[in-house]
Amino acid sequence: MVVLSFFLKRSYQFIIVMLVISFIGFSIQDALGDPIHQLVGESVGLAEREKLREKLGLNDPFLTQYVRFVKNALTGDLGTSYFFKKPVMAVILDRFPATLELTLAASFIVIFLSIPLGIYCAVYPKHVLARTIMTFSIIGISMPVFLTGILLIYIFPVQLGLLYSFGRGETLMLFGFWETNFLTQDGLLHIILPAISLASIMLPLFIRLIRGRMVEVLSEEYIHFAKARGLTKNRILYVHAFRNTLIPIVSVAGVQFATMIAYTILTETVFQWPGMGFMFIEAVTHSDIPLIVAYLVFVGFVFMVTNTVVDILYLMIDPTVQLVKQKF
Amino acid sequence: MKLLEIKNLTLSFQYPNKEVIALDDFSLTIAAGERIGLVGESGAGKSLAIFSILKLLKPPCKIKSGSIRFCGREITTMNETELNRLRGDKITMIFQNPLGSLNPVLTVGTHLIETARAHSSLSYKEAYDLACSRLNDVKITRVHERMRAYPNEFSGGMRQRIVIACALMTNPQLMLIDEPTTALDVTIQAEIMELIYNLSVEKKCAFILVSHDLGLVSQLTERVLVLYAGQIVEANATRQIIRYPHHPYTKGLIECLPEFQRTKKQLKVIPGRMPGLDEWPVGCRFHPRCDFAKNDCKEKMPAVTRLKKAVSAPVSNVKRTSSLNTPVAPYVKCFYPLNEKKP
Amino acid sequence: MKERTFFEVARNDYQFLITASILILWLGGAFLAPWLVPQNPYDLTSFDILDSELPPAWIEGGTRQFLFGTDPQGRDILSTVFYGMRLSLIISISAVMIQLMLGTFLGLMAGYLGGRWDSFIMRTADVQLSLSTLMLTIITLAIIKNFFAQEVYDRLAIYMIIMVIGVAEWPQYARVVRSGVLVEREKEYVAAARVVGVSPRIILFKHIFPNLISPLLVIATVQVANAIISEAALSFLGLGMPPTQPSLGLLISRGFEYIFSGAWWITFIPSFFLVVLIVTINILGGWFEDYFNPKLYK
Repeated sequence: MVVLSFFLKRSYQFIIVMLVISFIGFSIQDALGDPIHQLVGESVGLAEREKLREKLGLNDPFLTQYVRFVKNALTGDLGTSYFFKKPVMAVILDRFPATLELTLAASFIVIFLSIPLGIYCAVYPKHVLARTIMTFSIIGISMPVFLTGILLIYIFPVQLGLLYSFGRGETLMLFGFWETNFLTQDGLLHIILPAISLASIMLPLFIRLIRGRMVEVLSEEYIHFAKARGLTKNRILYVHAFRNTLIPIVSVAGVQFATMIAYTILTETVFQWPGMGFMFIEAVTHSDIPLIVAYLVFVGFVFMVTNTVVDILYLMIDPTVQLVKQKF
Repeated sequence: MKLLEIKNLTLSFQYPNKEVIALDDFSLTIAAGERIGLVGESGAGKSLAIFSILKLLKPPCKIKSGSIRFCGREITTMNETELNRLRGDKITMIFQNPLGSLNPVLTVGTHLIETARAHSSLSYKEAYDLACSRLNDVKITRVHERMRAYPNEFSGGMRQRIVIACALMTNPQLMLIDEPTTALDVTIQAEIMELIYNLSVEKKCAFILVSHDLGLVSQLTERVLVLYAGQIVEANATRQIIRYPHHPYTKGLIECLPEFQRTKKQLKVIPGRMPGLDEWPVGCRFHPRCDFAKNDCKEKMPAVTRLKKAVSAPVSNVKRTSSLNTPVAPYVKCFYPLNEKKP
Repeated sequence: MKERTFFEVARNDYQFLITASILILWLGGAFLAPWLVPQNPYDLTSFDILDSELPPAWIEGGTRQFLFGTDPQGRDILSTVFYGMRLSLIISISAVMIQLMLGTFLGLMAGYLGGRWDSFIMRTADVQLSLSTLMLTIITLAIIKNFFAQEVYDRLAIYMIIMVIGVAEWPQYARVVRSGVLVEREKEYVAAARVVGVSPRIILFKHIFPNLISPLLVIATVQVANAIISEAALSFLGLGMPPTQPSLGLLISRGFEYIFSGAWWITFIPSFFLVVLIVTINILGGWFEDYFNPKLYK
């Protein structure tokens, strides 16, 4: 019951936000893009242009055109890129795997480092190593992500001649549409630096978050009671404390995953990684309005989907939120 | 046979720049199967006293000196592994707040089973069956369903029953019970207390019950220790202490109880409040609130006075030592004990 | 802790003293740049292309004249860095002022008006927070950039960046202010003021607002650091300051390609100043948080 009503509420919010985003996107397109100019160039006469405008429905009222824009968008048609001369969705979907794989690789690094380090800092707050980690996490939070990228490039490819400073390297085509970095050695070597630099922005944040939450949980009464029952330290840490630490972190992780997509714009630019973010910056330099708008709508969509999925996941893993309210 | 023997235990809060004594020269002996009450106002140090038995004090509180022996083994020098073998096995605890004692993300079954399996080589199935029978013991029905439920699906009273079941998973010899009903509705209090008492009789398990409620303690225990500002001010058999309190503070506590009020006038109260940890007065710590205080009460700390007439032991097989350091015999810490001449 | 004043505590904490002195040094250097540094990097006549890519003075080939070396145009890096830092600070502090005003205003409105206004404002805040502010600023500036011709945009860039970063971060402040208002509103002193007949607006500003100052100060401090990072990121992407008026982000971005040829100082000296600036502000923010220990209303 709770899940259902929650789901309905989220869907409602989802639709409203998507409508707002698409409205903004359409207004931009309407104000900035002149499809006729892009389609036919300078050589065609005024009368012919007018005919074309009429035919494409560009003289219709704003709202009629907006409704048409939404309808097309729902079928996946967001227009044609000026620069690539291809449907924008095709361009975006072509670049999407690169960005997603980069984000996944970075998330992997963040998850596998932040959890043990965060717990360590919470359990041994006075240890030298914990203090060092906390100091570095302040520096990490203060390093702009592109700077981390530049530093990595300078240290590894430039000074040491290790790893790669740009591109995806050799990739493998999966299912005919998904180019993956994860299955070739060259691809894996290429993704290391961009992934580390993308992870560098989230890692300190998560270490601090997990540490803070863990410290809070460790002072809870049920931890004390667990000690009084003679449970082993490991059981108390990993079964009792860790689960309680993780649940609220999940909801933060959802938002941060979305934020990471934003940061891919920076890392992809530094490492010339052929993903959506790099494409977006190219679109901006080429004033490719339909592509910019499509990116806006697409990223908005991905954010909303991630958030909704994470919130539902949260509901499912947190037993204190009861699906059926019943008290024994 | 002494089950637990605490001698001259002193606990203190150790801050970087100062040290504050929280429990002063505390001694207590308990025999197998005996039920003892530890009574005092909040802040008297009674919870610290029982937490120290399992070395579960939270820093900066530490054991400063003294000894704690359980079945002849010294606890104060045990390491964590040895302590963990004792905690939740031979000595178990029941906490004050059942709403906080259970982990919200683990099922009731997990709590019970992990407790049993931490102290025995039971298989999961055996532990599960044991848990079910313990839930029956604490009068919980539909056990299989309840084993799968999470703590927040239960009311406070039910959660306290689960905590009690946890404390009985391993056939303990001693239960340390910290204000088990303070956080609960008054209506449920009696049920829970009766359950604890009956189970302790049935399982032949001794307990130390910590409470601020002398009335409650007097119904469930054979012996009472009254704690004031970190010191035991009086120890005696329950029946004796209720009838013939020797310390003015005990007398005040008894007069505060509704059921002991002779007249139907206003409820009596002890004037003032107990001093905080770092503001204990010189002399007898109770003197600022005492109706009977004389000049020497303000200057010197009264020594322990053994009461002249030893009281017949409520539990017949308890042997008493004559040493003053382990005063099992009734005693009072007052210059001018009341009721001295009466039996 | 509470009885001791801020300065009494600060005086005895040497970590704080070191951080604060570095920050003061940096801030002083940035704001006094025009009087301190040898060159005016905005003045094309003050530098010479023949001096380009000279290394810092302590490396072979460097000269005393250019302490931190020169960039590909022959500009003195010391001068560009201090001028750039000045720009970064002006932008971020102005942006935080806007955030503070906007967020406080909307939060007060939400908390005090309640009902529909409250849910509308807070819903918008939720959505905006979930959409990542960096993404919002990048996309917004990308679109604004396309509205204007390059020369016009270059002239307006500083105001645009301030506006965009200023508007993007209001929800955090609004949340804190709103829950603060909700908590404080229930307290006795507000009820007392209301009984005496004090007008709601005066209650809001004279009684409730002062309680919100310390949590707001803590957020604002950290947000200055974040705004510096955001501005640097925007400039790095070419959406921020024009090349004629480089901020730290743009200096780093322009030096990037030279690291491959070994001229690391062009990018790493501005980076060093940027990171030290942000680290000190962040440490100071954490310190404020510990000192004021505001019950960050959740």
